[in-house]
Amino acid sequence: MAQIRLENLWKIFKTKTEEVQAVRGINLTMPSGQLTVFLGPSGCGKTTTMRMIAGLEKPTSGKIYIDNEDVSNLKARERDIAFVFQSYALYPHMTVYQNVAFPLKAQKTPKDEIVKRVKWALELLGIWQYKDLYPSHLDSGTQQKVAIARAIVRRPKAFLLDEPLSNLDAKVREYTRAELRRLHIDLKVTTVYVTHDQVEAMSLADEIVIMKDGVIQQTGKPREVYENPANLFVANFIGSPGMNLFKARKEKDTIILGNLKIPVSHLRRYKEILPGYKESELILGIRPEYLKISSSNANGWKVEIEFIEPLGDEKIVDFSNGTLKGRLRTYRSTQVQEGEEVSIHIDIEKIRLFDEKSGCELLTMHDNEEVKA
Amino acid sequence: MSSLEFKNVTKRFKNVTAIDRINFRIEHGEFVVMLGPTGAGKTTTLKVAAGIYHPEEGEVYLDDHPVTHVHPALRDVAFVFQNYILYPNMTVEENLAFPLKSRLRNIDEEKIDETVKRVAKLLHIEHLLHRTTERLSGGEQQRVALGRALVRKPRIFLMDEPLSNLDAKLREEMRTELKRIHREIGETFFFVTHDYVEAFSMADRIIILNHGKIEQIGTPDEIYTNPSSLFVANFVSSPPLNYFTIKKESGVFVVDEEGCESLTCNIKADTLQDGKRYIFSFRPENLASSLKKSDDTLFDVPAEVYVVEDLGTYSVITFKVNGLLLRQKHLGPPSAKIGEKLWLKLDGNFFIFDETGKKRVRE
Repeated sequence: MAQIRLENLWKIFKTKTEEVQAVRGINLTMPSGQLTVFLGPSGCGKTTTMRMIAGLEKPTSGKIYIDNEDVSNLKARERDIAFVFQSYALYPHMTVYQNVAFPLKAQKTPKDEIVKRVKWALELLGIWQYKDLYPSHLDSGTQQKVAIARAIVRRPKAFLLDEPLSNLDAKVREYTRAELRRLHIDLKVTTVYVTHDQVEAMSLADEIVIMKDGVIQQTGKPREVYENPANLFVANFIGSPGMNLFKARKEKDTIILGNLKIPVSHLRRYKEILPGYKESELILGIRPEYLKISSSNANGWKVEIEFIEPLGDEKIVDFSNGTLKGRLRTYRSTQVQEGEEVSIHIDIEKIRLFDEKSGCELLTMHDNEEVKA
Repeated sequence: MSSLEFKNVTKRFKNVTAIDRINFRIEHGEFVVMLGPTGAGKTTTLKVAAGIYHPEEGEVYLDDHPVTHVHPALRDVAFVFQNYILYPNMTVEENLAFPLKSRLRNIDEEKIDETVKRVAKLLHIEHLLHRTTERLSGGEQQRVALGRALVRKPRIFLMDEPLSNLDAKLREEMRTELKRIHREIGETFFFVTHDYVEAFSMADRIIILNHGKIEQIGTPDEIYTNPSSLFVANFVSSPPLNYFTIKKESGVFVVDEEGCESLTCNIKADTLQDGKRYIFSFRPENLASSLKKSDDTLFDVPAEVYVVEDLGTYSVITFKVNGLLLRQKHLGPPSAKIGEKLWLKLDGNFFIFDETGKKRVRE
C-alpha cells in the first residue's frame, strides 16, 4: 500500500522531424489504497503516464514519488509495482498454478509460503478450481483473471492495469468489471487503471482522472464528474450518449434556448454568478435522462423526433429544433414516433452552463478565478 | 440493392462445424445484424455470403438466384473489415477513387470525381479529401474504408465488426452515423458484431447465432421482450441476466445451484411440474430491494450488497444470497451500500426455461 504522487510530469517524444508532447505537466496525488482510473481517448497521454509510473518510460522532466520516495530514476523492477496488460501474456506451457507461482519462485520465496499465497490469490479471484489447467483451456475472461492473480500474488505496493478488459467479449467484460471492483474493495491496494471506456471508469474508480492532449481535464469521484463536468470535453466524453450541448443566449435575467425562456433566478447553481457574467452567448448542457417527453406541456420546448434507437429497456431518441440537435433517454414503453412533434420538459436543476470560448463550466471557472485572485 | 438468402447452409473446417444448417433471408434495403459471441460462426457466415468460403451443404441466393458457386469477384458484394486496409501513401480522394479505376469498369474521370465527392459528402469527410490516410483518426479511417465500399454501388454490404477497433466514444458516434447512412442510401446491410447495444441501436432485425446455430431472428423489440432461449435472454441483457436453477418440491420452489444451500424462492408459476428442474431468470432492471420483508419477497433470507457500481445514468448493485450473485439496475446514484442487508423482490417480468435453457416454458 502506497501513495503515488506525480509532480509536474512531462513526456516529450522526439523524432527526426517532429516533437510530440505526450504528457504536459501533470500534478496528481493518488492516496494509498485508492483505485484511480485514467480515462481519455487514444493519444491523450494516459498510457504514457502509466508507463512512467511503472518505470517503463523515463519522464522528460518532473518527479514521481511512491510513499514520498523519489523513484523517478529507479528501474521498473526496483519500484515494487505489478502490471497487468491488455494481452495477458501467460506462459502457455505452465498450468494456472505454475503461472501464478512463477513470480514468487523468481523471488525465491519459501515453498510453503508459495503454496499459501497462490491458493489465496486463486481463491480470491474464484479460479482455484482451474489450478491444474493450461491457459489454452480457459476462456479469455478466466485467462485475464490468472494474469491478475499473478500480479497480486507478490503483494506489491501498487498495481498498474492497462486496459485489462478490452480484449474480452462485451458480456465477459461486464462480469469481470464487477469482480475487479470487489477485488479492490477486499485488497485495498493502490491501483492505477487506464481505459478509454467511460462506463468501465465509472464502475471501477474511486477517482477518475480525465485526460486530453496530455493534460488533466478533471479529477473527481465518478458521480462528481458525471453531474458536474468541468468543461465541454468531459461533459461529452462521460455518459453514453454524452451530455447534450446546446447553443443558448443570455439576455438580461433570462437564458434563451429556442422557444424556451428560463429565468436566471430558477437556476440555483448559477443565480449568484450569472449577473456578473459578461458574455451573451453560452452553451447549455443537459444529460439525456434529464429531458422528458410530455404531450400536454404547452410551455415545453418544441422539437421534432428524428431517430429512435431501441436499447432494450430504454431507448435513445434523437430530436431537433431548427439548428439544435439533441438526444434524450426514455423508457421502452414511451409512445413516440419518428417525425412526430413533441414538447420536452427540462429538469432545470440539472442544467449546466459553459463558457463558449474556453469551454469551461461557469461555476468551476468562477471558483478557479476566485482562487487565483 | 439486393436480397440475400441462406437455405440450410453448413460450413465445416475439418472436424469443426462452423455454421450448421442455417436459414435466413435479408430483404432489399434491410439492415440486419448478426449477433453472437466470439467463435459463434458470424464471420464464417459473412465469408460464405461473399463467396470467400464454399459451404459443404445448402444454397446461398442473391436476389433469388443461386450464387453458391459463383466467384467472389462476380457476386458484386462489398466487404468491410474490422481492420480496414487503406493505401497509406495515397490521399483520401485517391483511396476512394481506386476501386472505380479498374480497367474492367471503364468509368470516365468525370464520373469518378462526381461519385467520390458524393460519397465523401455522405460520410462527412469532404474536408479530408486531400489528406493522406495515415494522418487520419481511427474513425476517419473507418469512414474512408466504408467509402471505398460505397463508391462501387455493390448489391449488398457485408460488414465484419467494422466498429470494434474504435474508441468507445467514437464507436457510439459511428453507430448513429451508420444508421443515418443506411437510411440515406437505402442499400442492404448485413453487419456482424458481438456487441448487443450495437445490434439493438442499428438493426431492423437481429439474427442471434450461437455455436454455429441460429437461436432467434426478430426485431430488437421482439428479441428483448420475447427471448426464445436462456442464451438469447442473457446475451441481450446489460448488466448480465440473473438466472439460476430451481426445483419444485411439493409445491415449493427451491434453488438448486452448487454452493447455494437451502434457499426457497417465492415465485408464482402454477403450471410448472412438481419434481422437475427449471431455469428461472429475470433482468437486472426487474429486481427491486427494500429494508423490510414483505409477502412478495423473492427469498426467505435477506441479500447482502456485494458490489456497487455508479455508472452515471444508472447504478448496478450486485447482491449475494447464500452464494448466489444477483444484479439490480436502477436509475440514478446507487441506492445501497456495500455490506448492507436487503430483501429482494421482483418488479416486472421474468422468464422460465427448461433445465437446459434451450426452450422457454410458458408460466
